Amino acid sequence: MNSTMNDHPTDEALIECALEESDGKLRVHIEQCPQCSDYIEEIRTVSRDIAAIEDEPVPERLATKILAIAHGKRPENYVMTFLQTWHKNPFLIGCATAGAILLLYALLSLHL
Amino acid sequence: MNEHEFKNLYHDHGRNLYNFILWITVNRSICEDILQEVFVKLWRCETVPAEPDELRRWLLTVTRRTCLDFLRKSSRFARLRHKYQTERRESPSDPDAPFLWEKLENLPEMERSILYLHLKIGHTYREIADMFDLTENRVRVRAFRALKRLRETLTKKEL
Repeated sequence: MNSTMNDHPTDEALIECALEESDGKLRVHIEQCPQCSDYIEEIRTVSRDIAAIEDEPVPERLATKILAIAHGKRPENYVMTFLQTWHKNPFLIGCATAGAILLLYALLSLHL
Repeated sequence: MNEHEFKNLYHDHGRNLYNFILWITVNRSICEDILQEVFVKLWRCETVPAEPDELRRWLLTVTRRTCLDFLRKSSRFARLRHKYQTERRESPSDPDAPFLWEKLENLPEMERSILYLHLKIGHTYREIADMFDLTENRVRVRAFRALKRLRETLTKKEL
């Protein structure tokens, strides 16, 4: 880039120079040009101010809710596992049978 | 992943992700729902990257996608955003921070996200490009454009 005192580098070149390494010619121009050197300093200040914005803590109640996600089994796996295996559990078969008998009894007593 | 690993991941990344969501959405209420959804996805995911840097990039990518999905779906966004801005400006820890934050809010979401990842987290343009599915040059251009706009608005304040 040809950057003499009358030929200022582009904004993009200056921002690149403010954040990263710059080539020799550009550096020489910036050292001699107060306008460009101010521009670079302003970009660096903005970058530093952004980096200095304080991170907010995660609200306590949210942290509790998130950590509760991992308690016990995975929710979707739990439901799927239950649906696939409930009929193998004698206690649940007994409950289901009793429920079906009660329902049948209630239906019959309504009609009779 | 077991419960202990999940908790470690939350302690290592929860705060960063929460603040990343805050930068993307500019909305504290929606931020809580999104962070919760990200960790539900993490807990349900069968193939979480093992390598720490890769995991961090994966989490940031999932977080941003979840944010964008939420923002698309949420019709309450404008109202909540206004509420959040008011809350944030009323409790500044740094007297100049609310003004800078106000200027950041006016940037497009992608530029704000790039600035957060590059200037606060320290990701390179290459890494951000991979996360956002853009070219490195495009990320650089967006970052420069954002900084140029911020410099212009902030120097106007001082004049």
